[in-house]
Amino acid sequence: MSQYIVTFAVLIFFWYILSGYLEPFYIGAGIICCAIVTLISTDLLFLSNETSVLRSVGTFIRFIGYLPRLILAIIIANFDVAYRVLHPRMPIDPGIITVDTPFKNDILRTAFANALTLTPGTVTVEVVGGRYTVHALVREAAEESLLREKDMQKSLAHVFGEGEE
Amino acid sequence: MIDLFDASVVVLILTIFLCLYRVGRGPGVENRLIAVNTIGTKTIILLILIGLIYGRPIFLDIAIVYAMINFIATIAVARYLKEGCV
Amino acid sequence: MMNTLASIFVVIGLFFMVVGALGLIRLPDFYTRVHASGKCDTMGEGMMLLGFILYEGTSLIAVKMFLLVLFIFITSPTAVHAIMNVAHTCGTEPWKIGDERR
Repeated sequence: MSQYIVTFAVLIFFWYILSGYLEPFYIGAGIICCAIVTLISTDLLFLSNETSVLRSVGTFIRFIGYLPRLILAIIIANFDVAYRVLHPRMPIDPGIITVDTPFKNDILRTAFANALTLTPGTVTVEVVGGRYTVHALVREAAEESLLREKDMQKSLAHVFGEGEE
Repeated sequence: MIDLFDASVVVLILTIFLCLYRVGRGPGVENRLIAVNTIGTKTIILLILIGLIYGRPIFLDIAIVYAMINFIATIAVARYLKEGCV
Repeated sequence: MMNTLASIFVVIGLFFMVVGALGLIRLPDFYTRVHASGKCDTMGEGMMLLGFILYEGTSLIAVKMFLLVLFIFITSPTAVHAIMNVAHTCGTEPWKIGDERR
């Protein structure tokens, strides 16, 4: 039941932001549309019935706490790429490396793949199970930074409430 | 501030031409696909800039819809190339 | 004051957009081009939208722009990953030092 309420709240929030009117007609139309969509597609937003709303909210709050580090990594990555593109001789040494992770949760895997894509020097190529194939712009530097990013893996696992090892 | 927006529109259109070079020349489908994706992201910003310059916020809604269509189109083409069907 | 900050953000974003397009032209093969396009474009777009939000102040338009930023930061890496996966499956070889440009 609580899943239906959360879905409806999210949808009506989007409706208000996209329309911008607070008159009874528009809000009424929004309530009818959102109710229909909620009935049809709640099981798309919450994949399994066991997902409790409280735990999702906890995950969300911990993820916000993790955001500043991610943004810092993104800014460093961008200046790195800009330097390598604008340098006259282009100091790049690309190569493919693999990373093994113990992640089991699908959302956690997706989050880690996106984080890898946005952080310095690496783009995720393929994910099979917990094994990531990564293309690196500078191979040695990327291997080093991936060793250091064990730290990042641990904090991401903590965010999504999955014990390491 | 509006002057800066005008200048950004000009610069963005020039960068779109740079990407078009890659669309025309780039060997293989992947290069063209990534260039088209890049042009799509630049177009979103262009739409928002047009809305700000002429003072018509409706362009923001168009930009949101364009972002969604851009994403779905890229995923669809990638899936078609990989599996042979959508 | 707010306008100055907004213009700084817009100029930084514009710089990253130009770098993304230049990387698309200059870098030697597909995988390295994805680095330039995927990272610099996402970042440049986010920065420019942040500048627009500061310029716009608090209104519904700013909230919409913020939603657009969130959407882009989730979808852009996903789309890049999909294209990358296709190239890897089709067997595109990565470029190494000493190879000719492709």
